[in-house]
Amino acid sequence: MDETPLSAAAAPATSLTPPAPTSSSAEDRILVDRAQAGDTRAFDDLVRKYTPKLYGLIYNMTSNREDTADLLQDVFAKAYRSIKRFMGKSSFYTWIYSIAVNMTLNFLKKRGRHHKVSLDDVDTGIENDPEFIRVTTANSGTLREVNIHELQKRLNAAMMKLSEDHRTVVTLYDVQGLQHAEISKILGVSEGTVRSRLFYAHRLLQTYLEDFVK
Amino acid sequence: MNEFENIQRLIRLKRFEQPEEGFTESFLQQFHQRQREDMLRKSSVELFWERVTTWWDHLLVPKWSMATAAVAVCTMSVWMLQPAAKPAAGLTVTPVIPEKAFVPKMDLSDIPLARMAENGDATMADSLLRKHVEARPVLEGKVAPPSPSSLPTTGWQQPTLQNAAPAVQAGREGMLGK
Repeated sequence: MDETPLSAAAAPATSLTPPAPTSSSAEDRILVDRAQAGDTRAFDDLVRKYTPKLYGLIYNMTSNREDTADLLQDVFAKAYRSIKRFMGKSSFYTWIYSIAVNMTLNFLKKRGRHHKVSLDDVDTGIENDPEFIRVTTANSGTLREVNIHELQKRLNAAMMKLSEDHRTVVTLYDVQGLQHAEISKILGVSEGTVRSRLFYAHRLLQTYLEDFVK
Repeated sequence: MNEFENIQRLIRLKRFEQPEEGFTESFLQQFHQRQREDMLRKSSVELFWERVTTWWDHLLVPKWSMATAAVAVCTMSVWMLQPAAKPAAGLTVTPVIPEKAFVPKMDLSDIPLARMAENGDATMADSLLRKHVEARPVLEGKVAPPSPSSLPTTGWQQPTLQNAAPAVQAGREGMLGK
């Protein structure tokens, strides 16, 4: 397989726009009301809706599939126990994201900084994702030009080099597509702090992945 | 153009790292299974404690201030409710002797006279001294008030220590506790 690095310019311009979170607060509110009234199916619908989003969040913070699945179970278990205390002052997705971020940060603190990302932690299914293939080969014509496995490895390694706080904002902003204001609510910090953390995180990532972004 | 545009574009590729097909339904089944296992495995006390900690965790921002306030209230309650300290068994208890009732040392009506004495009026100073010496034992309740016969004769006399002798004597006796 060729070792030609992926040129960032290969991605189409449309991929620059982060996907807006499909929060649909009104729909969530109805499901939450039903769950608070004891309708467990309503809570199941919330789990179905937020599992892919929270999976992406936790996976990109831990870089480990097993830890992600375990943490996700804990997050929804905690949300289920606390659903009656959810007063609706914030949207449900802000609330559940706050739980997920806090639990993941606590987990990472316990796991410590000595954890090394192994090759096994790389998502092996992504190279078959049709959308991923389309984005990474849009201008080059062939997947052979991109060593996807290497790219994933380097991306994960670069992310894991960041501090937990920096990794969290990058995940929420660049990967999850949330806005600064939403991130500040989730993390309980000012928007200025979010912007500052993003700036430093981007600068560090640019250094770590210099050869990919030439 | 944003200076980090390229790196952001690269990082956004990570959003394609999604769980495999069918993960969500399988995850939901595991979630239900785990809830049932928890109900069977955990004792009622553990479940109750879990509820309490979950409730406490949700007081996110004021968590520590609430905890501090709770500790302060508990400490104050214990302090206020504890019984008064009792003397140790081996110690002897000394009876409390009530203090003497307060007795004014100077008749308040003398204040104008005192002011006059301060202004160098020797006559008034003598009068004040005489009145003080007479009044003190009486006020302290140790001697009866002097009889009119022991006082200077009627009419105004120049007050001297000699014509005040009975009263001075009575005052001295009172002071000595006779």
